[in-house]
Amino acid sequence: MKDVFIKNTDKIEYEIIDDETLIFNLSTNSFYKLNKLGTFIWKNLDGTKNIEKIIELVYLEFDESKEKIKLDVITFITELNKKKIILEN
Amino acid sequence: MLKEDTPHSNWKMSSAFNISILNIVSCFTLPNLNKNPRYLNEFKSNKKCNKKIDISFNNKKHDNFKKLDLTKHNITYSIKLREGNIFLKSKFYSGKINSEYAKFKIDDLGEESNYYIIKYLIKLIYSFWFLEKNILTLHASGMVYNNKAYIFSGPSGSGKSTILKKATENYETINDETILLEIKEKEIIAHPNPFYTNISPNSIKKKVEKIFFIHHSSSYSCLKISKINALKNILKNEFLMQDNMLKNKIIINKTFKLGLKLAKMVCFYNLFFTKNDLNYIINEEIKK
Repeated sequence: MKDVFIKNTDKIEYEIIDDETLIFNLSTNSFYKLNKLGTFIWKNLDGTKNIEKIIELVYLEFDESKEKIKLDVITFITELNKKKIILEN
Repeated sequence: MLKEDTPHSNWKMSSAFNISILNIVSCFTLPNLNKNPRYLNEFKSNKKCNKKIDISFNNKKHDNFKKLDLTKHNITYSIKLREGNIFLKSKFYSGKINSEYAKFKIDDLGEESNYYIIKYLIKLIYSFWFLEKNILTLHASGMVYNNKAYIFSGPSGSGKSTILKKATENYETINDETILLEIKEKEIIAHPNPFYTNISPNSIKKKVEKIFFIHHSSSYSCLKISKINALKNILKNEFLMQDNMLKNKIIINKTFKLGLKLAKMVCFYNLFFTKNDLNYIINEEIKK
């Protein structure tokens, strides 16, 4: 898995409201809803920050162990990548 | 962290025609809304008919005339195909559809099929035009109380018509199948949609007060929902978003933007009900 990802804006549409995100995948005609943590990571998937940097930012923002955060962030990003909602930059 | 949901599709069409319609729609060239911001360039009112519409088609193959009697819907449409134009006329609407903007192919599938195809495509064209005018087409029924519109949205079989049927006993109603929601700067206005109705279309325009996403259930509950859930439900029940064939980025982007505005401007509720709750919904819930 590569380290830096960017939103696949050609294939998705999304909106952020009140720390939650709604994503629509045009390829699969599916909706995805992100919670506060997912939205925080989503905002940082900007094509410049690597996974390590995002884990660091999440650690500073959320009250959770680094091991747990690392696992969650990697699982989440892997899932988004598998669904082609984000792309390797 | 990530929840997936696939929107339903609730076309009320017989399965015999469904495949043909999808085949036809796949030949449909979506308009470039950026290049043609005024997708339908005429929409005038006059004394003879409430509204006139000019839509664009390209069909030189057919040259026939068919009168369609939808008396059970209290609407009679006349549709004429001649020299690449489609002429549409009903008691409430008349229109000419020419070949200037949009192009699509109509295969010869027999007279009965033509009716469904034409009606389907006209609905689509209307929805594009509505979108251009900042109007979302929501699968919903609507009633009026205290001069404001109360909308009940959901897929086929969710109870839109059932609730509305009860409402007609004491209240003015807007539509029992789809409602047009005009997203204005400071308010949302509900209009009836002439192409989706089992009741006589009228010209009601009312400010929207509340929107309920309705679900049959074994017990009653009515809970306010978050803006993000409201947006998801709006999009799931929006006409153009429900069509798998219409994966046009411009259309989806515009629908999202309008849906977002709508989600921020109106109160939305998830309404779970049984058929014994209809009186309560109509006479109590909306007044809270």
